[in-house]
Amino acid sequence: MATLETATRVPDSETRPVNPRSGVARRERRNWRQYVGFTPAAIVFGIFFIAPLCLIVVYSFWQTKDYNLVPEFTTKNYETITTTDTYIKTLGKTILMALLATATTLAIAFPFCYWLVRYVPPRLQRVLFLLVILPFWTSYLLRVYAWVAILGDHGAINVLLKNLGLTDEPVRLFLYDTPGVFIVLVYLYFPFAALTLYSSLDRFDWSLLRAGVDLGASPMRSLVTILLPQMKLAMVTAGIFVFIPILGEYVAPEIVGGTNGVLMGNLIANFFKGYLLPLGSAASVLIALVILVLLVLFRKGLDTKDIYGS
Amino acid sequence: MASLHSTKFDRRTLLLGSLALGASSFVMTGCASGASDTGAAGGTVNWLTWSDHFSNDQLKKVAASSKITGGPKLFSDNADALLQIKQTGSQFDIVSGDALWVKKYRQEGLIDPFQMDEIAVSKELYSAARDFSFLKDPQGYLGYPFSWSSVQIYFNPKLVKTPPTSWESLTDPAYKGLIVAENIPTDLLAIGGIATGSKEPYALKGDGLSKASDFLKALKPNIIKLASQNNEIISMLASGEAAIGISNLGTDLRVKSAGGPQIEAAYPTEGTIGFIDAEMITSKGAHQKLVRPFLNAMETSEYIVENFKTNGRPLFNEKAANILLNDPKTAQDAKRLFMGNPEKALAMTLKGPAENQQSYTEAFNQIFGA
Repeated sequence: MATLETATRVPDSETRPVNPRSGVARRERRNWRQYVGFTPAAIVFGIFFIAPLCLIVVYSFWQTKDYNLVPEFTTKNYETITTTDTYIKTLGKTILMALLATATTLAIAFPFCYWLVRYVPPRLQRVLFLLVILPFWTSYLLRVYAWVAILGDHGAINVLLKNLGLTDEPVRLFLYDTPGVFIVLVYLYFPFAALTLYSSLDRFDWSLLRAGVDLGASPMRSLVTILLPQMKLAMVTAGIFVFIPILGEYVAPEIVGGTNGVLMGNLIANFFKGYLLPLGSAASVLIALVILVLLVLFRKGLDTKDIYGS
Repeated sequence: MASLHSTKFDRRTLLLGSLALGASSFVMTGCASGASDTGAAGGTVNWLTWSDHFSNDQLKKVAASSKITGGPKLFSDNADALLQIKQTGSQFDIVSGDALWVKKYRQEGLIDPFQMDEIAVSKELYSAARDFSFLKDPQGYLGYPFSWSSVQIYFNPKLVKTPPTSWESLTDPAYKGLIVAENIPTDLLAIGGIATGSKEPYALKGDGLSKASDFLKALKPNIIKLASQNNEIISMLASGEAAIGISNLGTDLRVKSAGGPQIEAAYPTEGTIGFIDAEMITSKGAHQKLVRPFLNAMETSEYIVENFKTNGRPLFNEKAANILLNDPKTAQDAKRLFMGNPEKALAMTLKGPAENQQSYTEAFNQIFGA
């Protein structure tokens, strides 16, 4: 009966007035105070992320008439984007480009980080890793323009080919075309993937691999069955870091893409430049929805239960 | 000495420290942005313009003599500039615009009229330039005339075997991947309109717009890049990355001075579009008092002469034109580039807003999308 009594008893804190000096009051104050630290982030995110996002969603249902935004509800902007062949193709091309560039970035970053963590002495590791993140210290634009210098008619590759006697005239390799955009995107986002994977691999308990081999697994099987499942979280996180920004890329295709390397971001920029804010907003919202769907799909990959099996 | 590890930060200290750091950087940012306007007689004039309307050296000299610093921000497309002025309110004091766009700014209530005599240096302008009807309304002048140019074809004779003669000829597959043009959707479709026989290239509709779009579709494989600023066209022609450029008067001079090859001009047989650009005073600009003295300092013949030497297209300052036409070193180029013939500016189809901007932008995006 004691159990029943305990279960039906109303907690003391709800019946008695709370003494401001009591432990309960202090705990409640502490509970409230713990959110104070969140306030600056909430303000920044609210003003610079949530509010503009809401504005874009609202604009996407409005219209433009003679260079003026008219707040009349319409779904025509979404119809235009989703029924026009060119826009569908460009959106598809953008998603495909983001997927391929993400896969390639991960495929390059993972072996690199594995080699770095496993085989390079710690002191040299830091130097090599510094080289990876060094591009972050320079301007994004400069990094993209550097590729014009590398791939251009008078760029490093053409100079090399000419000096080797392989060509007389400059060869237009990739620049001002889709492959050029792909190369530059992989280059730009490689450090994002490398940073994420390196920190995860650095904490990996390598004795587990040895244990696997001791128990009769081949080195490759140990990698596939022990290392890769534990890297799933890092891989998904790195994938998200690379994939999402690429979907909205505008500058790299503008500089190295030419007329063939256009992505959805460039069309959106044209919409905005032409004062078609609603149409540009609708296209932006659709890209955000694609990201949202993919994040939901990736969510399972982010669940740590999958990794540790509990 | 206390090491970093032995120093203890509790949550309260950390939070207060972060708040103090955040607040101080906020205050410092505010001070920095406000500092530009606290000079005794001067300040900063924010200017939405094209890269060929000023030089950094000129801005430095003007800042030294007038205490007014010009803060230029670049744009390429008139529609883009109109949008920025609409959305930014008081942030810009001066905006540059082409010909018929000036009236559009006025209709939208984005600019204020002014009296030309308030800018003393305007006495140096050609009288013809002071009479452009689209730069005036009953309340006064809407824009201070600066420069003009037709848009034509420039080509590198060493890289192009058959010189282009018309817009239509540019669709020849022999020019595949050789052309560079500025990324201005309205103007490119207007060129398409002229190429396909339209008399009103900024009012294309239905069949006319379809024909112009078809022209651009045929032209697309030949365009290597749509440049975001005119100086990108110059650098691509200078480096040989592009063999043909759709560009303003004086492109040949600019390519040469950029260390590039000799290029030639071809005036399209179908006719062309062109601009007469002007500086407008925004109605909500935060530093309006500084605009007139700033323009007065910037538009003197001394700087206009230098501007011509750098950018090589005609300007409306008569005093500068006379200096250039009387100097044996510059006379030939000044004459060839119509520095003494401002009346020719009215012979072109002037740039202006499209009657149906949505159709123009959509048509353009459908051509240049994937």
